[in-house]
Amino acid sequence: MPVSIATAREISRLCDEPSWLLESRVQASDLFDKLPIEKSSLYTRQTDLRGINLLDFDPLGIVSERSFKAESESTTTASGNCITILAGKVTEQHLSQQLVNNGVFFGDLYSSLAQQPNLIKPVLVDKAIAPDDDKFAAYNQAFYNSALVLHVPKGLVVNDPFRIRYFMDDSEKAVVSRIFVVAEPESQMTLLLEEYSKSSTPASNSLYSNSVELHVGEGARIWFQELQNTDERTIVLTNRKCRCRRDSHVSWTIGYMGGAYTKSRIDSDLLGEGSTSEEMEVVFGTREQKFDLNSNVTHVAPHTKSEIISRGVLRDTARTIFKGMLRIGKDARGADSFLAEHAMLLNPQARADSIPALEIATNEVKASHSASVAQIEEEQIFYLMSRGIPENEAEKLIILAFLEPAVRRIPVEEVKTALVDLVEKKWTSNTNSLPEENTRMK
Amino acid sequence: MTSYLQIQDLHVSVEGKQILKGLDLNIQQGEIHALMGPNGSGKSTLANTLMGHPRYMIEKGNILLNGESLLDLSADKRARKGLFLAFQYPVTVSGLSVSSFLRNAYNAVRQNGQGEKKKPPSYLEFKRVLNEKLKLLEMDETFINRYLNEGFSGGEKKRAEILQLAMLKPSIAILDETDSGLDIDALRVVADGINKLAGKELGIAIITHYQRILRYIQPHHVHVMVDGRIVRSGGSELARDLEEKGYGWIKENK
Ligand SMILES: Nc1ncnc2c1ncn2[C@@H]1O[C@H](COP(=O)(O)OP(=O)(O)O)[C@@H](O)[C@H]1O
Ligand SMILES: [Mg+2]
Repeated sequence: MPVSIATAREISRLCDEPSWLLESRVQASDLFDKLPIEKSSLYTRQTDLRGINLLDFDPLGIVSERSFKAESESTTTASGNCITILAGKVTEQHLSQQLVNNGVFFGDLYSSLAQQPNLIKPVLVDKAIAPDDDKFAAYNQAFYNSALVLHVPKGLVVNDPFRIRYFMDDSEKAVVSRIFVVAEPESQMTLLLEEYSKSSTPASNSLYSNSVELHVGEGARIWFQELQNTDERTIVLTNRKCRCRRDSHVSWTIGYMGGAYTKSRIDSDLLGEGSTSEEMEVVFGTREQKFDLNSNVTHVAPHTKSEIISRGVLRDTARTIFKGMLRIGKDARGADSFLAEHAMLLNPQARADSIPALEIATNEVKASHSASVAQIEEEQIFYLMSRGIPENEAEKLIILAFLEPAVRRIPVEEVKTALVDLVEKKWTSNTNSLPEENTRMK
Repeated sequence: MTSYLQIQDLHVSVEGKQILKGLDLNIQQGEIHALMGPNGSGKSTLANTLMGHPRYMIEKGNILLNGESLLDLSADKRARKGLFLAFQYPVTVSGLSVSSFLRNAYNAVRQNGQGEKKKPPSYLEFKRVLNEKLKLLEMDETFINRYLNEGFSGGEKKRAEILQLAMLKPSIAILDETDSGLDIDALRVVADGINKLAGKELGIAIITHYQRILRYIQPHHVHVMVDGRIVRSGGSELARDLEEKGYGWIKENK
């Protein structure tokens, strides 16, 4: 049975949701029906969802198979602060006692609503990611079957990263997930998000939809690090948004390795004076993978600063589209915005398109962008080979070197290492497989 | 066994244009040869062809290392058999550090292609050798953290080539204009480096347009190349004659 508004109602019922949450789902479901695949006329031509029907995937099955909440927190064997979600089901959940005592919340949405309704309800009502942002946001908010909250109280600096891991299994299921992060003023945290596929037996496609909201209070800092490494039958749809208050900072790192078709959007809203965002994006596409990546930075307040560094390597017939939009509003004097999108093609059939755009409504700002698409250079390969390095290794070193301007900026050392590892493994195997335990981020 | 490189009646074309027109040359481990010739005579074409650059087409002739033809071998295999080329124009690879590049090359040449896979030397072992060579060539340790040839001065690029030569320990090295674009101090340092590496273990062909470097390095044999052929060979006195009389003299007396 294809998904419909009845599906949204049923998920809500099974999750025992209050009526205001159900209302949101219904509204989102309605928008999902109405919205076109691509809202922006800038990109209409580039968006290509042929052959993918979101209605074919079932977001309901995994809800009815289980209770929404973690089975039992005592089943956890994990160390560190982590939540593992296997086929939509929380299988591991751990938060150190010290952080619990410090008032940190890291768990599912319904527990959060029960424990601290005054905190999380306004966030949900506020809708930083609005259901009419695009069709995929609407889908996510109508049919989510998993939702997590991370809340770090005022002034608390958490050095150990919080980890969320998703393992998809390959059926016609839809894992539809939402993550809400609330960083109170002056707090600091690192969130590592990883997505993998559990099984590698060929089967039908699955869908992974996620939305991430970062609410960054005054002077707070969030390092959001994501490695997307699902298999090549997974449709990946993600919307992420940060709202940065005065003097806060968000650092996004996203490694795109997996997925059949990835549609990803990042919005950085710099609302408070002096707030900053940076985004390091690394793509390695092989075979028939497609990546449709959209980054928007909106400078609302004065003296805000942003940087986007995107590097993509495409092999075989893989394709990527980078859509970067820098908006500097009328009050954002002294804003400083930079966008660089560079791609390297390893095959004549691979393709990369770059569509950078600027909208500037005030003077006295700095804004620049650069974009390029290049082939791997024959002279570089010959140079490395002349030193005894076999051709395949030489190419690998050259693509890693090409990715380096983004990789070296990754602020978390283990993410940097894990990402390079994933690229190297994928280079050799040409496919995304479930990594052995030791190659995942620890 | 002494390694030797034989170049026999070599004819090479690039993009349909005939550049080398029947070139013969033998280089043995332990010998220093100077290969001189005016611009455009085909010196770099010879160097690139020896190393196996895919753009250079061999129309006729052969290249043998220790009696075995190299023609069917890719550049990496030639390198692993002990051939080295110091590039006239070393290639920049932004994002690849000198140390990571050297480590990969160092490990690769130790896989000599004879079938059995040798265990790569440990990082510490590699670092030890690298530091020793840096010292030998009077190079700063921080040099290896830079990206390969990116933003290098002319002198740094050529020194980096000699550093690679020192690390990879080939039996035959072709140095293509390792002296050009250097000021006199840089030239002295590079020449010192080459002298330190020369010896029984290494056969060298110094390709040069000028005579300058031969004041620092004494070649056993000098060859003059004009229009894709070696037109005259002799001892080091030939270099002196050239210096006095110029290439015109050779062309007139061919
Ligand atoms: N890759 C190339 N493509 C086209 N022509 C080339 C190439 N390499 C060399 N040539 C030509 O071959 C001739 C010899 O060049 P080269 O070998 O560089 O001489 P040298 O090193 O002695 O100055 C020149 O006419 C040059 O233009
Ligand atoms: Mg030359």
